[in-house]
Amino acid sequence: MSKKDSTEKIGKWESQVRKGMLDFIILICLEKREYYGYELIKAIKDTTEINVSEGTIYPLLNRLKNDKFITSKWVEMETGIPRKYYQLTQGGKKLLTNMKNSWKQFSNAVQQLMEEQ
Amino acid sequence: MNVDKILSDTVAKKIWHQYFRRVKRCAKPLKSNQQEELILEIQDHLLESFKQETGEKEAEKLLNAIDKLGDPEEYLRPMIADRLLSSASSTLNPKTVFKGLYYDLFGNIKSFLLSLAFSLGYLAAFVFAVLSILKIFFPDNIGFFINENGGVLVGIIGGESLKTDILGFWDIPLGLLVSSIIYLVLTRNLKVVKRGMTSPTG
Repeated sequence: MSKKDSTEKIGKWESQVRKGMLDFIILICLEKREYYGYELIKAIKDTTEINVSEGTIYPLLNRLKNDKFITSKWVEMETGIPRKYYQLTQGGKKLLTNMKNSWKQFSNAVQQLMEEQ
Repeated sequence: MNVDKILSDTVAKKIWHQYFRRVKRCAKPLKSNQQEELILEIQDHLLESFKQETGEKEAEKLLNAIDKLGDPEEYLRPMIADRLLSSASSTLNPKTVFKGLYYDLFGNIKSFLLSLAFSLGYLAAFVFAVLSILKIFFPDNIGFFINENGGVLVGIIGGESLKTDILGFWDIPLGLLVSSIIYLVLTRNLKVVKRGMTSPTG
């Protein structure tokens, strides 16, 4: 495998892993404070370098909301344009705790596997 | 939102209106209050993104912001299918069921297969209901028969003269009952389709 192929492969794999974590990342962000859509995607992009089309965050937020893991509220802005803020529910907090535990177990297992070799 | 207060360039205004015509078209299957909320949220997003863009020309900045947001036909489809299927599952409204399945059909392969399987299930329910009603008009050709060789024949049967109609007109209530049960079971389990829907994770 050439160096270019390897870099491409790693790039693709990283992107898949990061995108697969989006639900988890959204919940982590919302644990700290409430966010509106654009602000949330910007925070995710800045910290994780996930390169997804910004619109894809909305179906995810919608599903998390339907499943009652997050809730939303409209806040009237000074400009007169209302803004929709998302926040974590009690159910979302429980889900996040479970996800964090699973993530820790999984990453520890992978780490252990790497150290054994 | 009055875009004229935000954008001064006519080209940029045109781009904005064109984009939101597409958003509105995509959001049409939703209830009017849901449509309104969705449009407001997308407008807020696009406006924020537009403000963050560097550049001099408004049209160029707006096009960049739109490019980052994506095509509404792509990113709104799973969200609309999700909302329709949630609503269908609780209201049992057939119109909402089919709209939801139609919107979901063009997601990823998994959602396509699940939607297709559910659609075939609904087709079976429809066939049972239609056959039950047609039994009234064609009692000798529709039903659950046994032919002279002991073979079982179900559905629309023609040309078999020596056959025994096992259920007779009981076919009608039974067919309608089976049809209703299939419809109820499928509709209450539409969440299975929702789970397979397109996500940004692909």
